[in-house]
Amino acid sequence: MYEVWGKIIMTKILIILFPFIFSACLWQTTSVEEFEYIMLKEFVGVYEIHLPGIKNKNGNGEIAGAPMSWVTILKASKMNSSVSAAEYICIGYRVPYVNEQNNQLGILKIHKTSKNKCPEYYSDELSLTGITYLSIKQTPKVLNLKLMLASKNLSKNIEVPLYNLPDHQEKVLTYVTLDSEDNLLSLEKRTKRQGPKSKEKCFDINAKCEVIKPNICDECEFGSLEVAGSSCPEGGIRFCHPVSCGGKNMPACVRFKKINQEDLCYQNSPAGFCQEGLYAYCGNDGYLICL
Amino acid sequence: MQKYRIFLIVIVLLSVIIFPITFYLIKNQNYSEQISQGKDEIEVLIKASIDLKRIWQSGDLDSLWKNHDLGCVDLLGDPFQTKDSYLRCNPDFIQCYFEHLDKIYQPHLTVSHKNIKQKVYLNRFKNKKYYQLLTKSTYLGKSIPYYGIMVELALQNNLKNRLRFILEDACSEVLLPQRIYAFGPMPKDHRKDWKWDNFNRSIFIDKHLVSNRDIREWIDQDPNIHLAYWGADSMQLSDPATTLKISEMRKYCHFRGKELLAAHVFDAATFLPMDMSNPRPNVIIRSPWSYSKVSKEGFLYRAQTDENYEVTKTDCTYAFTADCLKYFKYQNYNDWALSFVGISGSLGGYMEVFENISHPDQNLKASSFYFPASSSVHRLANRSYWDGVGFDQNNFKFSEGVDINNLRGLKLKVAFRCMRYGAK
Repeated sequence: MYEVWGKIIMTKILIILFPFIFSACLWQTTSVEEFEYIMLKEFVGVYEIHLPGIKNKNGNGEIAGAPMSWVTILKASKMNSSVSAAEYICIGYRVPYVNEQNNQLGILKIHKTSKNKCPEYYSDELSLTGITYLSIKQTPKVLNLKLMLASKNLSKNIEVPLYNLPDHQEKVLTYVTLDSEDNLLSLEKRTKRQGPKSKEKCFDINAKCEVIKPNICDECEFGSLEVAGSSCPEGGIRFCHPVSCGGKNMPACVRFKKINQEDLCYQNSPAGFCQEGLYAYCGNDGYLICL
Repeated sequence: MQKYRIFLIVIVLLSVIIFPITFYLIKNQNYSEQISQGKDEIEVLIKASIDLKRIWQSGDLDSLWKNHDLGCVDLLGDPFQTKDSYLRCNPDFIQCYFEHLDKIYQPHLTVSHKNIKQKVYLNRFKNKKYYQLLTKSTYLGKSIPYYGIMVELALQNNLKNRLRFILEDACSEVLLPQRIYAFGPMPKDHRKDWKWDNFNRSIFIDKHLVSNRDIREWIDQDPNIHLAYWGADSMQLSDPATTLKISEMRKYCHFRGKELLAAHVFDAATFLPMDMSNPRPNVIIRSPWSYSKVSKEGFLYRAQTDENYEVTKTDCTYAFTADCLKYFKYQNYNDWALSFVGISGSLGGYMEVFENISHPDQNLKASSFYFPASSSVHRLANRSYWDGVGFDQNNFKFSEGVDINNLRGLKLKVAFRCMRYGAK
């Protein structure tokens, strides 16, 4: 008697739960359209792209790799909404493994991070599943993802305009981000602790044109000054402003600049000029000093 | 009863199957519509950003300011005293323009997309302004320009999406062509000429003199700046800033990521090259006039050699001398005395101070409306001296033979502009 009642109750519960379970099954994956929309949004502010997954740049851009392994197919840089730091977008692809016994289809996942490194393994929620084939190509203006979905057996194209890349960037206009208002950060003013300090060397290079300190002069508060005496293609040593040139014990002002690696740092070098009565000498740091 | 029960079970089973499918289809359709709407929104916002860029760069295309439709005298000053190029890449114009549209209940930008007109609005930031001023000295970040504004666009009835972008100042500078230049007046022996070049580096020079508006914006963003002679009352905002000490001028230029214009760069930007097609001339022949390659030609030559020469209104557009004051007042942001690279006021107008490293006692372009066209100050590279501290006559030293009697008791005005070195 109790067993019969139990079965009836169970059946009723299942009938009640069925629509929800069924709906959940229908809703578990991201559609191509949604994935494309998210990419369109995220890539508005992208200013740099690397496609590490493509081995042969002149080929069809097909992504290959060990079956079931994660391959980072794209790494893009953009500014965060407060423009204070870079943000990175990594797209990972789990290479499908399809044979008679197995049917593990490919997965695309988007990972956003503030670290300049993409993960080895993508555990992010945002994914596009059921992929049997993927290729990626980039022109100066457009990023193109071509994929084949197992469910529809159709190829899909995702085209993402790259508005912010140097080749395509509207002169004057730099896109930062496109996001929901709740996610936008307010701008924070620079504090004295941030960035290189005034009069600090923001780029250092020796006479052999070996970079000793990478160029961070873009972060100087008041711009920077290049000193005279270098002929490296990368430019000469730079200091953050305010720095004067041409006075006694100061760097000489630049009169001309060559980029043929000719040594221009020597006594009375014409590459620099000083105040009347002072002469340019090659200092220990490899640039002209007025004495 | 049994039939009724079977019928009921069938109904329940059908509804159990139909309900989720209908739910899925409706939700899916709504979702697809939402996604499609989202994609359209992105395109509309991008189109609107290009429209806004046009307004930022072009300024008052509809002559709203000139026709006194904008109001905003406190922000923009009197339109009759300023050329409208003052409004190009001017954040105050952006503020004023969109406040005006608010007042007359007009959408900020209207974008046509798929044959439907979409209304796009500029959001206000916390300071109630439609923009956030960006300079490298106030914000840190890769995309921060030397000078620009950040703006935020949103659509009416939107998915809360906001497009943030930066509009950079692309209006105020000219690029000095890469070539060999000479510094100072032409010597008799060309082998003694002091030459330099800017190959492999870019030099950007302010097209116009730094204005009162520029200085007001600078001091507004930093309460620690105290200028010795700055008085904000009754000033025309577009007029050149002429009451700063040279140390304050240098600080202002640094705020904009630049430095005070160097005398040799000013010479390079104003001496008219004899042959533009040859960037490496062996001998640099130059005339003392920015508008002519011939020394014995033009109105200044005639005025300086013929005491009966009468300066005309047209002459004033080549060099605004004291004689021109009887015709009209000097206007900043004009294209008068434009040099071959496009900097204004190469002769006449306001006195202008430079950084002169090699000859610090020759740091002033005295050619200005203080002197008549017949004065020898109106020659390129004929420089005087300003001590950079005060504005009385004894703070200046003009060349011998320059008549300075009419300057007695006057507070002399000294203007300036900035320059910057860019990557090659």
